[in-house]
Amino acid sequence: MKKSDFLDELMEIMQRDEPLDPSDELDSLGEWDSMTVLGVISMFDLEFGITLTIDQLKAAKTIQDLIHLSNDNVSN
Amino acid sequence: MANARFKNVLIEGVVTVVPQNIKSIDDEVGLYGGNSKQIERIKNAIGLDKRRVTDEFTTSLDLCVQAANQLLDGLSVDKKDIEGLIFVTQTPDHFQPANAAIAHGKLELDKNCASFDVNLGCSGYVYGLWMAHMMIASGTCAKVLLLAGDTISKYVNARDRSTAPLFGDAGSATLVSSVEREVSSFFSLHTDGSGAEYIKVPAGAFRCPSSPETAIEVQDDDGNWRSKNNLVMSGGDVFNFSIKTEPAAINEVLEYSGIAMDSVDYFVFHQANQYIIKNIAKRLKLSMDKVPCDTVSKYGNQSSASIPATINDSLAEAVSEGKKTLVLSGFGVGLSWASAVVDIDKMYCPEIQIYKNGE
Repeated sequence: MKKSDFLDELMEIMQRDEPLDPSDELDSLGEWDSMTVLGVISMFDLEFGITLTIDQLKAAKTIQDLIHLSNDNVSN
Repeated sequence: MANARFKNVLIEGVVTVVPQNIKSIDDEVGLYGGNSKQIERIKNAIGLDKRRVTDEFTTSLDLCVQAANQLLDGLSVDKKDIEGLIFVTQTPDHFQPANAAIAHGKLELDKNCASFDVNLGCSGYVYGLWMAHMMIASGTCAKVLLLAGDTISKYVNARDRSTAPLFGDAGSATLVSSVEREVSSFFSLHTDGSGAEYIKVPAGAFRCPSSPETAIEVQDDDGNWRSKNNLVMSGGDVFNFSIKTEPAAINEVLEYSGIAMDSVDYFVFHQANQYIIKNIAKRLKLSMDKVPCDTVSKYGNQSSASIPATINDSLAEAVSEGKKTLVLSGFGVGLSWASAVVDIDKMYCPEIQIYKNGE
């Protein structure tokens, strides 16, 4: 998956209109909440076959950290 | 494999009763720090909106007894013909005696009747149906009354966003009977006790009796308040479990039954929330026309009563008309999950009933 598609999908999960950047801090985004976490878990499972744990997501600080969790499934 | 198949056993009717009192997530903007935008997201994504909750005096037993009376009246069943009574609940009136025995007395059933409780939640309705089928297939009973109901709203802390806006209360009654007609049903049952911590009420029974200490409310890392007497749910873990386990479970029971997915008229899932159901349906590539999922936004997550409530709420007309094939599947606390493929034929299925005090 391309990085731009990844960001688009994340915006859809967050129901957010403003664009996202990999450097965005998750805690600074109003939509980074338990619902978004579930959406990200489901997306990783469906798109990459990766089962994320809540702890992995809690440890992530930025969107780049989420991309890192995809194990190179997200390319530039 | 814990699988079973039955012939000549039919679900003759289902009635579900919900309390009068309606709560709405719109009134709980304080839980979300005044963030009404987040409430809109929750409504859109998870499908939480309104829920029906009991007052402090009404219990699962009351809701189920009203449902049972209407069911037996509606089907013109002679009470002495009920030879089995199963009560599925995790919110009984007492530790002892069993809710089934109290209900047996209130319904004035005959003494020739096997009655017992089953302590299961979201999977409990399908487990109860399986037991009712076994009791009939073994020749023990000709008619079994299955009561399934919960009042989980009494367990949640009002300041816990992860549970309080989610759960509603309901009681159901289902009649399962031995019939001459050609009908088949198939069941598949599972447990994973390694996930017992995911949905739990820590205190109140014998491992940790309730005390002034267990009633102390503390705030967790996410800012939610609860005591050890309250329900605690690890939403993310339960979500992961649901979307991993349910698609496989549906495929398994269909394969066991030999019935093609396209031949199924409706898939009735435990109404955990709309997001989980849509996610499961997407993975199974089901048309949402066949997957009712409105119940949670009108009534809340009704635990053991959510499957019958959905049949009464969304499928009343469809199942009353003629022969249909349904897949029923419950999943949750335990962890426990169970799925069934059942034929139904002109089921007695009125719309959802509202509880009348004092009846």
